[in-house]
Amino acid sequence: MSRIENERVCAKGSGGRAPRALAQYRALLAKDVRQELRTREMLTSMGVYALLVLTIYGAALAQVGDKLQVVSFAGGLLWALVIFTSLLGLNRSFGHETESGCLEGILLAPVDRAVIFLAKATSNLLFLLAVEVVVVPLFFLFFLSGAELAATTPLIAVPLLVGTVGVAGVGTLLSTMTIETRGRDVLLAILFIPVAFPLLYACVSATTCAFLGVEGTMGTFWTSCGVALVYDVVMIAAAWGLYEFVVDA
Amino acid sequence: MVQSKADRLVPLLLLLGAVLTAVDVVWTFTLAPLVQGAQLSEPVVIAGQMVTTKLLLSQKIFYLHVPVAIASFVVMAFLAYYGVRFLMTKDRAYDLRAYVAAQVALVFIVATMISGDLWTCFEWGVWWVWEPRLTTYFILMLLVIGYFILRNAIDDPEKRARFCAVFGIIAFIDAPISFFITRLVPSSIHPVVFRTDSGLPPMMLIPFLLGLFGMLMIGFALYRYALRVHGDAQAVEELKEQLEELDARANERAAAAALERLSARHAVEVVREAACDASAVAARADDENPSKED
Amino acid sequence: MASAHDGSAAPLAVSARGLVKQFGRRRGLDGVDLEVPSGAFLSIFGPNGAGKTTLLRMLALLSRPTRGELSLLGVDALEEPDSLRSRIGLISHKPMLYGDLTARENLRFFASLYGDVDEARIDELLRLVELDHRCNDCARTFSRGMQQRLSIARALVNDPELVLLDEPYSGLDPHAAELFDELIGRVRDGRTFVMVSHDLEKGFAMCSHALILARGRVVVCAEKERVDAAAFRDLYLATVGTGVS
Repeated sequence: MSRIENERVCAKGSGGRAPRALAQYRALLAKDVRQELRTREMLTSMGVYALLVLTIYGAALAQVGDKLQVVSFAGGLLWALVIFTSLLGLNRSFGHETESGCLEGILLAPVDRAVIFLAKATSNLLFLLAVEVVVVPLFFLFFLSGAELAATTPLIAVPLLVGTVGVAGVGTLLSTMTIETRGRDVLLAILFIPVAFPLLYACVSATTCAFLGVEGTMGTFWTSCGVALVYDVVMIAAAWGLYEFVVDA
Repeated sequence: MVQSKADRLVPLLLLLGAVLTAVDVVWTFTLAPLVQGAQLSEPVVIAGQMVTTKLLLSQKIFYLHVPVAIASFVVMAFLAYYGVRFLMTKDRAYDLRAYVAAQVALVFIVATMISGDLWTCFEWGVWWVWEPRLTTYFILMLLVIGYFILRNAIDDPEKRARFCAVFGIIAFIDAPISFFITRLVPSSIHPVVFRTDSGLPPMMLIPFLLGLFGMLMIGFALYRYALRVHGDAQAVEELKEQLEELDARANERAAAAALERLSARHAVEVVREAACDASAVAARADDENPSKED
Repeated sequence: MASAHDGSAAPLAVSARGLVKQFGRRRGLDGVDLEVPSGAFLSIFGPNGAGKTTLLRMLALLSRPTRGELSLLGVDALEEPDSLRSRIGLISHKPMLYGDLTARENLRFFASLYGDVDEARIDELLRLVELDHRCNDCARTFSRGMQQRLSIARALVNDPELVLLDEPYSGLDPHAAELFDELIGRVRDGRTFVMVSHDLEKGFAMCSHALILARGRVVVCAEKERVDAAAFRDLYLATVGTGVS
């Protein structure tokens, strides 16, 4: 009887490892997206928070009359906005999973732990990008509407994309660890900001280059993007490999 | 477990390390030649201030600052190494070692920051510059502090060990970045110390190496001492547990009697040997049963 | 281990030898031997901290033993946990459901982790736990009892041969608990159950085998028919009285 059951299960779970992993990845991702679209918890809280940060920038920059001056450090401002907003979102991203033990429910199933990581990182990436799509134009509207923008300004999309990928990757690993600790919100910030710092540094450098568009700085732009990309690869590889140890006892 | 033959050498090592470092300091101020702008050859504007080549005495910090910094990188590597070992074996001893390594790393990092800051102040005329090397090193300090905060935030020792091991490995990634960044970023004004063309004259190289080995010895001795302290604390816990175990064993007869009584009534036919172990059935059974049996 | 039982008339659903879960100097489990025949219902009792949940998590393949051998359903659980996962289900005191997904979406999601989703089976499960009339409502709007029923359906999406129950009664009112019992009775057929419970009366009434665990060791493990209920109760109370230091 055991034999038959065995075969039945094998047949049930067959179809090769890779296609099954892909199906599981899609199921996990679809679940996150469906939940978010229903509650809009992460998106609204991140969006409103980003708006508040912009308001604070408004107060902080109220005495800077010349828009040209803002352009020179707009890259830094933009990234501070992105980092703070993502921190808020990352803190929430695992709320649903631990609320009623769902993560355990997922771990019960024959799912590769790396697939769980990838799916969560992807959904975080999607939500962060969705917020950025709204917030970055607002940033331009509020602080750069009068300024003369360099022709290279659209290139800021490159560091934004590369940077957000890294933020989502590292953030997913760290928020999995902090979700079940005391004072998790603060702890995530304490762990995340130093770890993400090299990425932040490179992205600010690239974004500033794009904003200023000075002749001959394009080399620095691409180098910085390259550094950010290397960071993404190293950190996501490390997170991928270590995720198993974070979720499995 | 913590105590070993090597431990007897630890005080000796600490002493030797201290002596080497002392020789390094003395040598630095007596024999090593003064440097004229070896690190900074032309006037540079930093934070709006013109800085010239008044290096002279301030360069002496190099003989302490660099060894301490290197030692801190080495200890960080051990933090990550023990993290990997822990994840591979799940042996708590490695978790303790990683924790101790983090403590020593923090001491060295703070020492590096202080000595480096003194140098920056004299050399560049400012206390702090957001310069790549300084920044990444500062981040390294924050990461180690974060490690301790993470440790304190988790109660379950098993989970704490796992998470700290993972974070220790992630945190270590910053160490090579910090080490190599002076080479990678051309705008960095921090001097590149290790290069093939440095051509340090023997009078300068020898004290530097003395300082380096001295620091590494001190680092190792500190690590062993801290490990022993923590090991002793664990041993105390173990003794406490043993005492409790003895307490439980004192109730052994009564507990065994209780089981015997149950068996006698043919209540339980399958009684595992484990049941006879007093540690399993204990205190209250002891309080209640004798009176019933009488 | 596994080969010893292969081909025998009644293969063992759970077979453990010397399971140890150690962390530092503390032992969560201290050499647990356990044999559960196929189709049995084993109730595990014991004081807090006796290692009941540790043992159950180990059977659910959520935690690995430090030492020892474990084979489930005739397969070595330490060598090939992945092939076993799809044959095991867990119902915990936590419902393990997404509050913002409907009952049907929850089942569909968990089913998709095990393979292709069979809508007919999901309908059948919803009918079984009597939630088909509310299958399109979010799980958040359900009462605790309904959530626990949906949780049974969730644990059965992969048609497990071994079902583990971790304190399933906590938070259930008597009526909901009764319903829960009835449901479990309905799905008993052909499955092996292992339950961890604080509730001696209920746990003992349902089981075919009973086990008392204390300080990470098996105090007694016996078939119910061979155990006098009153004596078992005495032993249980004596053990619980010892508690954990």
